[in-house]
This record gives sequence, structure tokens and C-alpha cells, in this order.
Amino acid sequence: MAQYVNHDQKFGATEAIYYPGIAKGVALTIRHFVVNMWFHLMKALRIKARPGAITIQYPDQRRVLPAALRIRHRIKLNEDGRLRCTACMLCETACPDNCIYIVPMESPEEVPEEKMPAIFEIDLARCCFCGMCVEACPMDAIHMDTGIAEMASDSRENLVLDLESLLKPGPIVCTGPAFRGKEILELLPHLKDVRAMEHQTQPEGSIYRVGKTNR
Amino acid sequence: MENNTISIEINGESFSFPPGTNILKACNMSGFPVPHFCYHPCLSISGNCRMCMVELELNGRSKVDVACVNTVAEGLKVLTDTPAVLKARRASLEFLLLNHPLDCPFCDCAGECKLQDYYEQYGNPEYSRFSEEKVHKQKRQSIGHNLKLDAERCVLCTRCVRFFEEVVGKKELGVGHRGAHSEIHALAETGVDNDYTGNVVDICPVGALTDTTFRFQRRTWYLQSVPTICPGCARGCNIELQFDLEHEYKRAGKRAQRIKPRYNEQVNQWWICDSGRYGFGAIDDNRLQQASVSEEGQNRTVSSNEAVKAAAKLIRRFIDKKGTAALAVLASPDETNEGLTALRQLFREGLQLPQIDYRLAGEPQGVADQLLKHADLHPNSRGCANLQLEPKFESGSLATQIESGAISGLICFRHDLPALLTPQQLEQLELLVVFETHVVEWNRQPEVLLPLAVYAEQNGSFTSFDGITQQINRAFAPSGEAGTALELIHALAGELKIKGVPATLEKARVLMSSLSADFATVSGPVAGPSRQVSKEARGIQHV
Repeated sequence: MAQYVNHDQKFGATEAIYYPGIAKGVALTIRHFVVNMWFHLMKALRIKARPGAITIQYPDQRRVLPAALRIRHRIKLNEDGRLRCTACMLCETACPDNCIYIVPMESPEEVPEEKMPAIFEIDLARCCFCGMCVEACPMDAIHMDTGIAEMASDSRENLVLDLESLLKPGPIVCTGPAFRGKEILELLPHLKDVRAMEHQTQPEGSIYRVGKTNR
Repeated sequence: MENNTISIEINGESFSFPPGTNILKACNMSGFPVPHFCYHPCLSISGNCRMCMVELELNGRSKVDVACVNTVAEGLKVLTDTPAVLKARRASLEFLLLNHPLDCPFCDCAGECKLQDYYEQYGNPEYSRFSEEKVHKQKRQSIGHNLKLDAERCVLCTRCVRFFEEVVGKKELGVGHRGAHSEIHALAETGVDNDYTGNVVDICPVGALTDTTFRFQRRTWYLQSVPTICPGCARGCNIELQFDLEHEYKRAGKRAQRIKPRYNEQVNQWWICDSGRYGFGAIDDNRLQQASVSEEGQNRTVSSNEAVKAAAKLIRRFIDKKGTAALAVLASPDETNEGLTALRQLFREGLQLPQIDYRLAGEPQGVADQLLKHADLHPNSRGCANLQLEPKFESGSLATQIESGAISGLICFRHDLPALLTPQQLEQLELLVVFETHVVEWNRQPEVLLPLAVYAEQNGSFTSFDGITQQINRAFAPSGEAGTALELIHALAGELKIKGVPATLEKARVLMSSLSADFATVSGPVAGPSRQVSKEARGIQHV
């Protein structure tokens, strides 16, 4: 929600000379400093009190994230190492932001699941991390449990996760802090063909972009 | 019996039916639908799915029995939702689902599957009691033409078997093996081969038979639908054109997804032929997007408005120089009656051209059969004939007249001129104005080439060979800068300063109804603003 500044506001006498305001601010800082030091002192003396505020030295130190946190997506493989996703498009249907983009294809004869995604993309710039896709998935293929919260990027294109980066969650920009993925998944042998096909099916000028904006 | 009706009581209400009506049909007609898989109004009674259980009470004795096999009897009481009936249906569903693979997530039928719907409505809400290994059968079998069979999903209703035997008149499929191992298989080694194979996908109540052209393309809930008329032949089969505009970008702008037949007792009943069903590719493939004008060997792309202006100028100049007799018009039997009426008003009434025809010698003819296919491959030849779009005086075919120099200007709507006229004949023409829907290889570039809309992109009507005029509905906007014939002809008339050419569909309807008795009533639904696919519109599955 946008904050609107009232430019017609008239300053009172104390506000007009600034010094009381500066004094208030300094007093607040000093109060926090003293109170925080008091709690740390109590802790040092082994007297039970509220813990003092501490600064986490990010990115060298990291906070423990809650287990149920909905964060960057990944796609799971099944016990036999095949893609769990069958391109049923229920996540795409459930997605309130239309950020999931799937093109299905018929899988090779030797794969028991008839259908698989040729292209599976999630646009993180659109995603609101509601977790509806995880709820909708009947194959338990999509999860939001990678624990990767660093999703900043310098371009919108980099924020679109493809199947490869969903199977092998890594940092979006290589210049960022060291990535702390839970597991590195071996890519499927036939996924290479999928990638090759994807390059064929996506022509120059990208129909996909046009479609996304037209939606 | 005396007045030839039998009165029965369904759920406490009295109804009367002609003798011999089966109880399932009677219940459906009275507003108490009974779930069923194997029953189809056009096929013989099989009674194998055991889903249409109802309680029948006659002379104080009652029993739970299938509704499709039993016929109405005087004084019969039918109860469709007693606890005993619901229990019997639940048991039937449990049996049907014992070996069902439950692969709804990637089954193309999900969303329009009877088994899904009935399980929601009547099934056991708890977990399955079945703990043994399911019987596995072969999935994704190609059984000929565009059909894929998944034997695991099949509920063995034998609708497909009976359809080929009874409607098409050719034994194509059969049920092999026994008990839980029974499965549908093609009788011929080469698989199913006839002109009506697609219909079994519609009547299959589950996802056992799927269509390779639609397989894995879209989920059914993405589709929108409009009721329209098949343009494949002069029969005028009623169809539902199903399309997807929201996910258009996924398949490089393919809008039309599939065609399903729409029930019409008079014309096509529940069926359509395969050439009609799989003909939707032409809606999006290879379409002419922009108008072009050719001047002194230079071909340039222009807007439709500019092209119409250029055409008007050239036509006016040609008539001033050579007179009206040298300018011929080839109307199209693929156009709507409304477009043809505008064409008639402009060229016959307005410009007084004597040479107007809609046929061109050498155009391909179809092969008629006893069921639906008609030899005339154009949907509106009868409409053209009704509007008397025929030459006022016969003086040889168009080709000979061009060669003799009698005709040196031609305005052509949707005819394959490069294939039907020789390059020399085309070269001889001084003026060639072409209205075309698709990209055609021209060995002689027309002076003006204008893009036209196809049937899916306009409202209007077609008249079938037996004189039934039926409404066609617009599914989506014309591709590129294409316009409908009505719009383009009205614009051309405006440029030529000719009055009396209808601008709107309503005006054209008023005018055409005064020209022929066939046009008095236009039957068929007019598509409303809501285009969501209703269960009824998703083909004929829920019969």
C-alpha cells in the first residue's frame, strides 16, 4: 500500500526548531543500547533474563528457517529416478498468479508414465508463494522446501526457473552468496532430449513472452 | 393401452410413455436422470454396466433392477434414489473401480469422465477396500486411425463395439479374454479403419479411447466451446468447436483444439465423420494474414482498407473500359448466406454483372456414403443456388471464355485458381481480384488479394443440401487483418458508391429471407457471451 505524504501539514513550535526531535531520537537509541546491554550483562552473569538482541552475520551466519516455510520450488524424482511430474497441469490450473507454464509431451515408450513435461517453468517474479501448486499436485512432485530464500536477480528472465533448475535447485545469480541446497539431484538421461526439444520448440522472438503479457 | 400410452409413477409423480419405452429413457425424460455407462439412445441395449439400478415396484412387489433392460408397464412405480438403489450403485462403482488404474492426473478424459462424475456423486467416500494387486493390461495401444486404447481404464461398456457394428455397419472391435482380464481389441490386424472412428472417443464414458490429435494437448477444463456447423460437406452436421485462447502461446497460435458432434435429430444425430472432425487444422494453419496489392509487377502489403479502395478503383476502371459482360464473379459455396446476399446485392443488383457463378469446373468432389458424408464438399452450395448465383446466359465454361477473350476480369472468392486454371489463362486476365482465406502459391500475382475470415471467425448461416438453414457462430476474432465477406463486400460497395448492400447480419437476414423460402428460419443456437464448456457441450458423452 502506498504511503501518501501530507505536504500541507503545519509544523508545531517544537517541530519547527528540530532540536527536541533530535533529542528524542538520540534518547531512543541510547535506551535500546542500555536495555540491550543490560540483558547481555545479565546473561554474562548467568542471571536468567530475556535474551538480548543479536546481529546475525549474514551471509556467514544464517538463521534456522522454519520447517513449514514455503520458499523456492523444486521438482522431485521418484524412487526409480524418474521425473515425478506427469504434466497434469493441476498446479498450473490452481496457480492464482498464472506463473506456471507447462508444455506436455508423450513420454518415451519405456517410461511407464505416459505423459511428461517438455517445458516446465515457474516465473518467480509472478509467484506469490501461496503453495497452491504443492497442494494441487497429485503426484507429490512439486515442493517448496528448498530453503533457498535468495532469489534476487538483475533481470526478469533469470527469475524464470526451468525444469533443470527446478530439479537441481541452485542460486539464481552466480554472483550471490554460497548456495545451501538440500540435495543435488542427478538429472535424468532423457532430460537432455527435453532440453534439446525445448530449444527447438521455442522460436526466436518468443511466443511465450507475448502470451504471458497477453494473459 | 387403449390410447397407446402407459402411465407409470416415477418418484411419486405420474408420467405416461408409449409402450416399449425403457425405464432409463423414461426417467431421463421426466427429469430424474439415472447414471449409466453402457446405455446409449442410438445403440442396442447391453445392460452390462449395472450402473442404472432403480427400484421397480409392481403389484406390491418391489426389487432393485437395471433400468435400461426393463420397459414401462401399466401401474409400475419407479424409485430412483432410495437407500437400496444408492447401495447398489455404490457396489457397482466399487466393482468398476477395482482394476481401474486411477491415472486421472494424466488421463485426457479427466474433467469429462462419467466414472469421475458418478464416483463423486454415488461412490464410496471412504478408502478402497481392495488391497490386492490390480490386474494390469496394456496401456497406449494404437488400434488404428487416430485411436489410442488404454485397456486398464476401460469399463467394458462395449459402446464402441456396438457403435461400429450397428451404426457404421462394420465389425471392427471385439471383447477378448474373460472376467477381470477381458479387454477390447481390434478384430483386424491393421486396426480400426472406417470414416467414423472418432465417434467412439465421444461415446467412451471413460478415458479408455483417446484421440491422438487431442492427446496431451490441453486439459478439458481449459477449453471454451461454441455451437456451429461443420463446413466439410453439404450435410451441415452440427458441431461444437472447442478452442483455447488463454493458452494459445503454447502451441504457436493454434486456437482450435478439437471438434465434437452436437446432437441434432434431423441432420447428424450424435455423430460426425472423421474428415469433419479432424478438419479443424485449416482454421489456424497457413492463413492469409494481410492484404496485398500488385502494381506494375511490384507486390506490396497494405491494410485491408487500402486494398478495398484499390480494388474499387480497379473494378470501376475496368467496367468503364470493357463493360460489365467482361467481368466475371466467382462466389464461394464456402461463404455464409449473409455474405453471399451482400455479394449478390453488390455485383448483380448494383453493378449489374451477368457473369456470376459459384462453381468452377474441375473442383474436387467427395465420396458420399449411407451415413453422413455427402459428395458436395462445400457447406453452402444450396445457399448459392437459392440466391441464383448462376450465369444469366450460358456461354461455355470460365476457362474457355477466358481463352476466347470474352472474360478478361475476374473477382474470385475462395477458389483454388492456380490449380484449376492454367498459367496462360491466368496471364490473359487483365484484372484479378481475389478474396482468399489461406496462403496460395500464385504464378500470376492478383492485382488485389484480400484476406477472408473462415467459418469459425464469423456469425452467419449455411444451408445444407436438403434445405435446412443453420446458424454458425463466431468462436474467435479473424486471424491477422482478415475480414468477413459481409464486411469486405460492404466496404467495397461503399467505395464503389453502390447502395442497398447490407452492412450487418440482421439486415442481410431480412434481405435473404425475401429471396428464398429456405432462408425463412435459421435454426440452431446463437452463441451467448458465456463460452464456458458446459457438460452438455463437451460432446455427447453425457448421453
